[in-house]
Amino acid sequence: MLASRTQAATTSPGVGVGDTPDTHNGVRFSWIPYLWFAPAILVLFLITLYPTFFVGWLSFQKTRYYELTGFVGLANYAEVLSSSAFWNTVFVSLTYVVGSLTGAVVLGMAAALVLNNAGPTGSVLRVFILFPWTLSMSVVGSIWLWLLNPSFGPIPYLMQVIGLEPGLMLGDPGLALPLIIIVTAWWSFPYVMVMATAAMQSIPQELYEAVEIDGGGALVKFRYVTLTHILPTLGSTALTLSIMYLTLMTLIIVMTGGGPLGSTTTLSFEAFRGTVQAVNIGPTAVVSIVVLLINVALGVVYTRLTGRVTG
Amino acid sequence: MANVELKAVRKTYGTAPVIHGVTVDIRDGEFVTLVGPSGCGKSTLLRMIAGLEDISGGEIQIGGRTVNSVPPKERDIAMVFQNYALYPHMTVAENMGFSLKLKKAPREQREAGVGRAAEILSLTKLLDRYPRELSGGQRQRVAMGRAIVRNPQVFLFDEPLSNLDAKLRVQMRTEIKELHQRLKTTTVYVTHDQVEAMTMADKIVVMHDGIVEQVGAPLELYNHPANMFVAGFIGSPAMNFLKGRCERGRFLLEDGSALALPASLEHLSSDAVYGVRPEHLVRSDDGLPLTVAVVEPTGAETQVIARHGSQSIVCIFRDSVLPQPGETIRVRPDVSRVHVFSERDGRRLS
Repeated sequence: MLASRTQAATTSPGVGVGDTPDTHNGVRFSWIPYLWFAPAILVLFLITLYPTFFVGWLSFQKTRYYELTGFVGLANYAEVLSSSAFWNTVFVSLTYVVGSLTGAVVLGMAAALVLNNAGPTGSVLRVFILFPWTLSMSVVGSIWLWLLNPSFGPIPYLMQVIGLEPGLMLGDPGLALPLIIIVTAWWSFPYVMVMATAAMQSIPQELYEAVEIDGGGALVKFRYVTLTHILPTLGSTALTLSIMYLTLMTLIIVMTGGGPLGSTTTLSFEAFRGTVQAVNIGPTAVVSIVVLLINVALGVVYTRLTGRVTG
Repeated sequence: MANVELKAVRKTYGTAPVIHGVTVDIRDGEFVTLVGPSGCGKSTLLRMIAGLEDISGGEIQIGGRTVNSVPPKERDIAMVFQNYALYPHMTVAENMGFSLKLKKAPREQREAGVGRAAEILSLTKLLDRYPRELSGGQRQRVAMGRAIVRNPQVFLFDEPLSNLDAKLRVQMRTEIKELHQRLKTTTVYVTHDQVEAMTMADKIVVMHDGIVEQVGAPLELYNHPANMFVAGFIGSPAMNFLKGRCERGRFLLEDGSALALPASLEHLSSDAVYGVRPEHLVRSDDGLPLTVAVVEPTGAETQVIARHGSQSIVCIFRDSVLPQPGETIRVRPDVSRVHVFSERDGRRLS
């Protein structure tokens, strides 16, 4: 989210062609267009740039609760970057993003492929499959909290029926992150499905027929027509989701609260916990800056990719 | 190379029949166009030859082998699509060599095949480009190159020129014809443009509502159309049709004016339709009086749209004296080139 805002902020207004001519370097220059832009830029500054710079500034401050006690240079960075807990959080975050993304893309692609060949039935089913995506994250979390409850949840019960030991489910430090990844993938795969379906439906039928005449089967059609055609869409979808996963914490707050034993504490959750619960503002600002930098990097890739698709 | 035989070929979608028993014999090396208005079933028929549509009834043979249930890739045909259907992420060379790649042909053989086709179509300089970097005409050539590389027994073209502008269309038309003269591969070419059909084909199959109206060489269809549909479809501008009655060796229009009939119809006496092409009307002082409505000079000739009563009649004159709108001119049909059709079923009587 932060990344997309930052991108928007860097979009500069074009050279104005206006009413008051000023032949500087032979190009007519006018302030009028900038004046029209001013309110938008002002709003943008207040709601995105200012908070972003403020967090950056905070990361160089020593803080006690909500009190600023002085400039400390890179001390907060040194403290955070040298702690093993921070690197563990980075690892959890990346595992979460990569795991959820893999799940969502595989499920979404499979659903898109199956339903795209299912005619009108496919259209109806697609609406039902879209359902998880329309739910609020806290509702999704609550539903799964119940489904996975070791005492009365249906999933542990079914596992017992087929002879598996369900254990503590979300209470198990080894299982909590995989389960959260599964829930995230379940919640977001419809988005991948919709994007992939849209891309698939724009593939000209003649390309498949050309493959048939050239002598290819279903696999060749998928590899050389479907996949290559939807790859750019899939790439930008994956990046959008990555940016979202990286900043997402509602599900974690509802389902595990970052536990057990920090096994589901992602960077964003840590930023939330450090600010709201621990009130350790200075070092937590560093965590936020790390999230920001990763997202800006993803945002740059995203812009490149969509630029290539649309350009 | 091979001949293609269609024997009572039928196609139905659900219960709706779209092709009602088409029988056409396409000889080895022939260039045949399937022509007809939109929805006449010509593209469906081509796709049935290609194997992209199932055959509901009848039989299709390619090179003496019945191919009704043979998949497209085993029919030894190549198809050029209306929208080219080039693989967008492959270069020109990769597009052209894709069928050989799928056949697992060795690299040298692939390169040789692509090189040869590229040379024929002057695509050698474009081999490393992507389809999006090519113009419409170039893309069309690549699509043809892809077909040539396969070295098929039959080329199938599905309205290949309809996405090109008029000038390029004429140029590509010539190129395709030259290509056929060089390779002598049996070709089936679908078009809705009768000029394209006339100029390119050895043999034209005129289709209408899922049936074959007439099969024949271009000039045969022009000079001896079997019925009013073919007469009206072949030739541009279209033939004039006048309703009336054959009586005592003359053709009487509804207002009583008389036109000459060919000698073979002297004894006919029935309601009929008199057909005469715009280019077969000549100005003559004792001709049918017409009121000029619109004059369209094109340089070499002038098209005049005129009225006789409520009937609109198109004439083409090659003389340089242009009539004025509102003026009355008198024209007479060249009786040796007049066609008379049955009023009842549109069949040719003369």
